[in-house]
Amino acid sequence: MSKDAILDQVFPVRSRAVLALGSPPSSEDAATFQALAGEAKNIAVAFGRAPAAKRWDAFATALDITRLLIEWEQASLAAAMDSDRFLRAARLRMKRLRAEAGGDALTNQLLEALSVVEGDVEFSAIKTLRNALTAIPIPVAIYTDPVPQPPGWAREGEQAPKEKIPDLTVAFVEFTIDGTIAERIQALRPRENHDLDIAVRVSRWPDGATSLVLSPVSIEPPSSYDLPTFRFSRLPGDPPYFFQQRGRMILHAPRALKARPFEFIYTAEFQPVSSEKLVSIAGQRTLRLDGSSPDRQPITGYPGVDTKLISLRDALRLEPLVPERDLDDLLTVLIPLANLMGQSVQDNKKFPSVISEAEFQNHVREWLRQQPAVGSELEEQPHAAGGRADLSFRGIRIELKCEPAKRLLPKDCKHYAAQPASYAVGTNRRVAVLCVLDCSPKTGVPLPIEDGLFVYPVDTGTSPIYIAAVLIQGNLAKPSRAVER
Amino acid sequence: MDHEFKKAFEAGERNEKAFELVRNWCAHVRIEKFGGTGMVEQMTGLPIGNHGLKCDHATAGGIYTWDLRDAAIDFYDRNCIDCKKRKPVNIPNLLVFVKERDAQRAVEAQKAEVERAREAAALEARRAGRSRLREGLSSLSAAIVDHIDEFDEHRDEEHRDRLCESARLAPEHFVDPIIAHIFELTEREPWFGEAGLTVLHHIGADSARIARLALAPMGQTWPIDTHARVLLSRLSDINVAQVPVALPAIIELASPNDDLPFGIERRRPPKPELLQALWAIHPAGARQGLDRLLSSRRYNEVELGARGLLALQERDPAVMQSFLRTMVSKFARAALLLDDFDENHRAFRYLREAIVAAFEHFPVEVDTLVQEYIASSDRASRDRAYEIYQAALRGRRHDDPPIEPESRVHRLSFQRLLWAATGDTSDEVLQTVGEVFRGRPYQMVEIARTELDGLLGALLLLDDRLRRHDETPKAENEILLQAIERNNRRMAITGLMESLVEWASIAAKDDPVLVKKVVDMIDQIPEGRDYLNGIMLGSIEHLGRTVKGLRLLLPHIYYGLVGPSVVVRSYAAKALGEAQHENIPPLVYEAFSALLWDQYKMVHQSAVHALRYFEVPESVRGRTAQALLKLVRCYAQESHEDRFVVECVEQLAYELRRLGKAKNNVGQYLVKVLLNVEPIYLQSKVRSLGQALCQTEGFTDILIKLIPHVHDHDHRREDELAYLAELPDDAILSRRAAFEKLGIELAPKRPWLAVYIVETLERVGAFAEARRIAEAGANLEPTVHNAAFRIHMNFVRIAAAFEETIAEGRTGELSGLTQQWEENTERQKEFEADVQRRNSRSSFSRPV
Repeated sequence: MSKDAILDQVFPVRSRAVLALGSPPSSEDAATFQALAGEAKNIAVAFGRAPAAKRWDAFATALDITRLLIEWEQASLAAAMDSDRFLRAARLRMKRLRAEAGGDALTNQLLEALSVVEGDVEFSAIKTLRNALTAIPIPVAIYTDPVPQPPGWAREGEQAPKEKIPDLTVAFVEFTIDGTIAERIQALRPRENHDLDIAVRVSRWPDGATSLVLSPVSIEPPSSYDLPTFRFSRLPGDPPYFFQQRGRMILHAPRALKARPFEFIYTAEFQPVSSEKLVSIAGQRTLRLDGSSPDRQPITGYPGVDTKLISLRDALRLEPLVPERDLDDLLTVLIPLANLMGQSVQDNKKFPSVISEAEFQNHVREWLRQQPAVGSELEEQPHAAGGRADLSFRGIRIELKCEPAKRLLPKDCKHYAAQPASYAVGTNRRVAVLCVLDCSPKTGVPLPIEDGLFVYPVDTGTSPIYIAAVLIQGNLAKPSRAVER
Repeated sequence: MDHEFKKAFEAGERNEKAFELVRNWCAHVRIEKFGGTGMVEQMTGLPIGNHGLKCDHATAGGIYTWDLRDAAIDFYDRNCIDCKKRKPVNIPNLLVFVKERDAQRAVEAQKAEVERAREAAALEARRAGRSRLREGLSSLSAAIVDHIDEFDEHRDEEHRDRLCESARLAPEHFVDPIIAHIFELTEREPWFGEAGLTVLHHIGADSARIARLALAPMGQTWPIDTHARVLLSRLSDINVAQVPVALPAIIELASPNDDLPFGIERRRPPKPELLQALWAIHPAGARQGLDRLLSSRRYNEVELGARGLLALQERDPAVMQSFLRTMVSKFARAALLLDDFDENHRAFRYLREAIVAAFEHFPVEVDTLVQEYIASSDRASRDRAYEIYQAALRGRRHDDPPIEPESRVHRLSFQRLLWAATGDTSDEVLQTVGEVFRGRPYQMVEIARTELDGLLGALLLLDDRLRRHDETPKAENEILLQAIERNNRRMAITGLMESLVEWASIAAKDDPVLVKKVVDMIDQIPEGRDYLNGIMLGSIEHLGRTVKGLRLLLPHIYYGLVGPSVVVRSYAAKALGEAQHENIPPLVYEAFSALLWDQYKMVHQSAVHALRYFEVPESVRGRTAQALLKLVRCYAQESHEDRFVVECVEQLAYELRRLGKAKNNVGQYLVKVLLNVEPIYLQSKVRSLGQALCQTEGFTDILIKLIPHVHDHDHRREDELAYLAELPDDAILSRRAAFEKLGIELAPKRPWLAVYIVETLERVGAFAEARRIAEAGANLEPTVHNAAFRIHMNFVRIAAAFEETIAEGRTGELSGLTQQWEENTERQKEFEADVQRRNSRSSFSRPV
């Protein structure tokens, strides 16, 4: 081990000790010398095998004896019980110092000064002792001489092997709600009880664990839901282990259309809780529950359309590139368009005959302006990507198309999608709306209304642009005249 | 030109240019060297070695580098960027390096930025792809895609294990689109390789494709434990064509390189299963891979191939058979068959081991091959071929059980080497044989016993060789190097003879018949063969351990000691030193003590040397001491004999200490003699000399003489400094002026040494002298370079002055000194902050 220079630790203690010894007596002296004696002792230890260690040990003893004498004086004057115990201790310290002196010159000098504690001692002897100690120089020592230690690499073999980190325990979880596998976003009617079945496959079971507990964690207010906690006891045999259990769940509050779904994460831990980290959950770690209730809170007035609208919303929400704000704006404009889609089929009065694209645009513009959520924020003919979009709502471009001759199916609208996609790119958005009026004369049964609402991802070569398409069916055949396709 | 010389020469030329640019930068800067001067540097005058920059306006720290550019840029960053003292000299200058460095840094930063952007875009594309992948998947399968997404983002063990364990626990949810995506990721993304293979393995995907994927990245990725595990369960699906390319990595896994004694590599356990399985199932592919490695012209690849063979032969010893010629040829003709054969690439640790393993299983075939190369190769290849026999006999632990005398490979190697030493004239072969027989035979003892006749016969032939060597006239105008070589050759022959005597005597010592055979040989040595005779006396070390052996040998030792031959007398003295001394009759020591008075240097020096190993009986002690004193007196007058003087003084000093007379006149005389000895001979002996003479008057002067020669880098362990604490107080006080002078000389340049003297003087109360030494350091010229020394020594000065003041009763000055300490502490903090600021700008960032 290398020798270190520790003068920076030694001198401050030495100078404080000398100045304290030479200072007039004060009520703090006992505490001061006790602290100094402790520091001097530490320095003696730090010097290790160096000759200075012995000198500093003797000096520390001298300081401590001084402290004992001061305490003896204070205790005697305060008529404390057995005040002489301090004096006896001081004498014993000195006796021991003398026994360990071994001919060291400094220790002998200190002993000579300390000899005042022998025989009849007066209080005045303390001052004499302090003056005498102040006058004894201690040879300056700088280097320590620590006891050699084998280097780290040599001790490598002696060290206990590092505790092996246990393998990660993985629990693969599957949820079934009311008998069907939980979807990525599961629609769930609020304020009704539902069955929640869990199936867990566990990769290993730690030693000492008696049970595995899976419990829900959520940021939702606790009053808004009740979800079960599942507890499984250890099974005999080798892993993996398979467990199943059923619980009951309820959402106490419905959810608004634009609100994100309720999100619950099931965490797992073995009990009793050990030093092992939590179990890692794989599979359906997250349970997303859509508590919106279209029948109680209609969106467009057409339940089937509402359901489709919600599913499109959920699908777009999973797209990492679609910002939440764009999705909100898109929904705001899609809701009246979806309603228009429903009205057109329900009454066949909105678009009973072939009209031009300009007329269709006027019609849609008026309809949207009537919507309080849209109103003045609807723009017409905004510039984008070197062209002009038909309508626009907060940057969500709306391209209108009108087909007077040929009946359209959803897949047929795809060839219109490139145009709104270009407008979306030109506006630095990921979504746009394509609203197509099929006013071609019909002879057959119209499509179910909600089938006219869909989303196209348009491939741009890098990442896609999403086009929300609304296919409005007009110019329908009277049901009595409809022929089978 | 030798490769190492060439490298040194190029470094010197590069440094020479750098020197000029550094000197052009500033008139203040100095270039300092760290370490000694090598032969190439001496011959060329080029600055080769580690150099660093110094300046009065810079802090003292810094680095010394082989390429001065590194030290220069580091120095510039720390000290020159904001220096106001610079005195420009010329252009171009140091800024050339700085600009070059900065430009390279900018390029690197740009590259890193491009790479980062590329990775971000790739990640985004993968995310978008997985987003599309989710369409139409069940929620559980979509959750698997989520796990892949998370692993792509975090790439840690937890996310990897979650995905892999999901595959094990719920493989049914890994539907075809996900499997296709995992295959694609495994193929393209190195970070996903391990996880991908594990998942595909668990879900039982296309086995042939998995095998192809697992083999393909070998060599480009590490670790490959997972790849190996996956492959082991589908060996039949492996495409043989991939095996040769993948084999290097598979060998690395099977037999990790443990050349490094510490670190992770050492702990990596060998995993030979895949290699062995490949050899069993696809021998053609594995053979092709091994052939490719062993035939390579690169050293490390050949070694890797050898590691592969070693791993394979644990399971199938026959594996070596078809590679015997390749291995022997590559080892023997390495100089011709390798492109990178040099000093660092010649040992062939693993190839050597593999050949030894092959030798054990195919002794005749390997011996025939080696003999073929010895008979038909050039000199260098022949010399290396002999090393194969050497390898077969070495490399065992000393405590291994003895090798059976029936061991064919050991007997063959033993015989081949023994007779090569007597018949082959090559110095290299002599050295090879010498290395085998150096030391004791240990586990070869049975072989040596069986070959005892051969050993004794070889001794006679080696003595002939020695005589031929001695009778060969020196070359005309012999230069120093030739003389050294000639001497080395002679020492190699005598050294081998001594080794053979030791082997023979150890082999024979437990068998009285063999002991007699060895001793009889001494009798049979023809007249005039003094060296053989003398060397044979060394057998007493082992044969003399039995009474019978001692009885047989003692007459030879005695007659050797008193005989007419100088050589035999010298060897007899040496032999006595090495013998067991319990049963040696006093008469022998009497004869021995006479050798200390012998007029021949060879004899009395050998006798003094032997004294280190035993104590002469009381009856001859006085005579011995007198002889030593005479030798000291005599040799002290001669130059170039300091080593022997110290040896004699050491022996005599121990005798004086035993008699309690170390402090008397003779002791003082010995100290005076030592004061005239070159420090280099004293330094290694100061510990033992100090034990005998530490209290002798004048020993203080020896320490004062040696302290300036203490090495800076390991002064903490020097004995000279340790003895300062042992010196008697009066000895220090009597030489206080000399100590002060030495301390003041050392303080400006080597304050850490001066502080030892401060401590010594303080111990005896020479406070003023101690303080003046510290002052010499504290009053150094106030430059930035000296600041650390000045501050440090100022602390010492204040502490010394403090105690001096106490000793002189001037207690009123104590608070003033305490105040000075506080001020110096503040100065130190400011200085450390400055150093910190400078160092924060330093970096080893000159791109290669």
